[in-house]
Amino acid sequence: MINQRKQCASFHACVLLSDGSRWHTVKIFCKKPLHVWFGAALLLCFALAKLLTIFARRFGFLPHLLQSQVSDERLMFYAGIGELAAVFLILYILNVKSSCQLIALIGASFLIYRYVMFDMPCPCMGAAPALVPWLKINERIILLTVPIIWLLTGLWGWARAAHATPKQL
Amino acid sequence: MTAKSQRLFPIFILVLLLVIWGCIAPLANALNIGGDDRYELCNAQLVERRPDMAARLENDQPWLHTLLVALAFDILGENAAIPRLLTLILTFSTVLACWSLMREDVGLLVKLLFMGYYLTSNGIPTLAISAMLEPSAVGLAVIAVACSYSETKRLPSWRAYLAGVIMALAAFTKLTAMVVVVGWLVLLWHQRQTSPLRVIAPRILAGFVATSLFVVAVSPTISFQDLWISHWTAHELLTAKPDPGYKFDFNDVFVDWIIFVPAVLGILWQFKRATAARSGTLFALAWLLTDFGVFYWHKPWWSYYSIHFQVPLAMLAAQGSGWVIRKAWHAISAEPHDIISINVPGNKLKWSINENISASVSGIVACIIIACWCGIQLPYFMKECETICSTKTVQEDEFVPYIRQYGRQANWIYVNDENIAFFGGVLQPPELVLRTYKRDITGGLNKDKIIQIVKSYKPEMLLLSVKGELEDKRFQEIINRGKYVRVKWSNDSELWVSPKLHPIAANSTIEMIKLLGI
Repeated sequence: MINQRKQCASFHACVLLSDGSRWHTVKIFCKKPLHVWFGAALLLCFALAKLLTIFARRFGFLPHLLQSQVSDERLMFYAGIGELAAVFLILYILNVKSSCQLIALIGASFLIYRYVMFDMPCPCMGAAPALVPWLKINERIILLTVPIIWLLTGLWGWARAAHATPKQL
Repeated sequence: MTAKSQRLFPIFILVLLLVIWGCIAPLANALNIGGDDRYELCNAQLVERRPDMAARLENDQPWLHTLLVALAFDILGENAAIPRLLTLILTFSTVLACWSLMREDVGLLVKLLFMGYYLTSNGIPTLAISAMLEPSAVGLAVIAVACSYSETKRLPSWRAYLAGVIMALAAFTKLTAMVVVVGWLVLLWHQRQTSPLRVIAPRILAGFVATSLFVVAVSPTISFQDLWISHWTAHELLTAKPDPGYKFDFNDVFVDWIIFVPAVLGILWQFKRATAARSGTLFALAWLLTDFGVFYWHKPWWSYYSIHFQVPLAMLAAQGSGWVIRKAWHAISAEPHDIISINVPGNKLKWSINENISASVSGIVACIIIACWCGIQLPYFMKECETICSTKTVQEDEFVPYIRQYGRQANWIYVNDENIAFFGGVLQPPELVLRTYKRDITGGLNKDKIIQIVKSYKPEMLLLSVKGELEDKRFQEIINRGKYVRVKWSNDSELWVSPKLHPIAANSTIEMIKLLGI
């Protein structure tokens, strides 16, 4: 029977407890849908950009960058840790529906933050824009597009998860 | 939503956008919108006031647009908003025509996507409100094609004649509109089952020929030399001695990769479909390929030619995005029919598989497409709109009030900026209205000729640039000989007026300093 699962080319499985009362999303690596992985991967990129920037500065790998170019280190550190925690929650703790809700929430809050404080220096991508000119040129575009992607992916995944969850078993 | 409201809703949105656009844009007051806006305004002004001198214009484009605008000027008064509004209406008509071409595939979603993609394409907001030939010609050509399209039932004969008439109007607005013809033929061939080519082609041709003859008859001049040889000469000169600035530029066409990527999806979708290809997609593809063929070869390339690519690209992009978004939507709304329960012996778990890769991928791609449009295309569009709204207006120009004041008694003006002449209400010598790059490289107009023309017309007013004409001794000689008086000056330009108009001289810098008591 397990072979049948493989034949269906699926990668998101739900498990039914023996009492038949609840569904739990199987919280293992390969059981999350691709869109959740996609949202988490984007978030991980942002988290790594921040944390690696702090790491690199601490160990003197980015001596040519001025302090102003990497923004406030403490803020960046806490934001990076927060994002890493969110990635962990999305991939390992929460079920698909909650993961999507969290992705949508992150997207919405990031979008509001970008719209309200558009002209403020953003620690979002750490030192990456200073190192990669393409990121520097397209910083505003990226920081507007990515939250919209999170918001839409989260909402879409949420709707899909909500619709796909059977009412009773 | 009922079928009727589904049809009317996008039209309502389109008309609403047209009204908003028309109200926000400075149609009547902007000095110059788009590249060649100035030429058409001055052309029409001259034809309206001095039709006898129209032949001296050395116009290398067909006359239809100029004649229509001149007629409108005659009836409604000289207002820059008239030709600009005409372009705006034709741009929005292009959207309607394309909707009708994509008929079978089009739901509300694809219609709105096409409108969004096309109207936010790079340069379209500017072109749509400029008094230029290209958007009007393309608009008319697409309307002609839409008029001849009827895949499900036989095409009424009046529509075939009308298609020919409109295509002739497009061709006599600007000959580049004929690039659509290959796509049009593909479309006509595709609908041959219901409307045989041998029946409709003669009707289209009759409409085309009759209208062409009429336009030729009313045109002040029409010659193969102006319409073809002059362009061919410029093309040959640029081929022999290439100028990279005037070569086909992929960046102009693919600057909107947000549209290009879904357009590729649209083409893939067409190939993926089991059913026969749809006419709208075939037309768009054929048009796009012809564009590549023609404009890659044709020189000089102007960035506004990219409108020829933007219409078919937007059609394909709307279909591609529509396909992905619909797929993503169905993934949400579809019942979880693919749940498979599996009994796992031992731990008595039931496994249910309710997701698949393709649904997730379609969701991700749909989200990326919408996000990129909102995050990239829309801000660029807003920026372009802001630029249009902040365009220098007549009220902001320091020379226009002086030209209007002295211009009441003047016959001619020489200006370094054509639009100032239009808004000042004074005509330029006809030979100097179209100071184009083409005339420059083909030797049709050079500095010696300009001086000669200025000497022969003896314009009562001269608006000269400080670092251009005023550094030329020949212009200084004209000023001295005509005893022109400087009535207004700025860092860039100076306005000189003939004594015949009783000018009051402007203070010089030293006099200004003395007056201010510095």
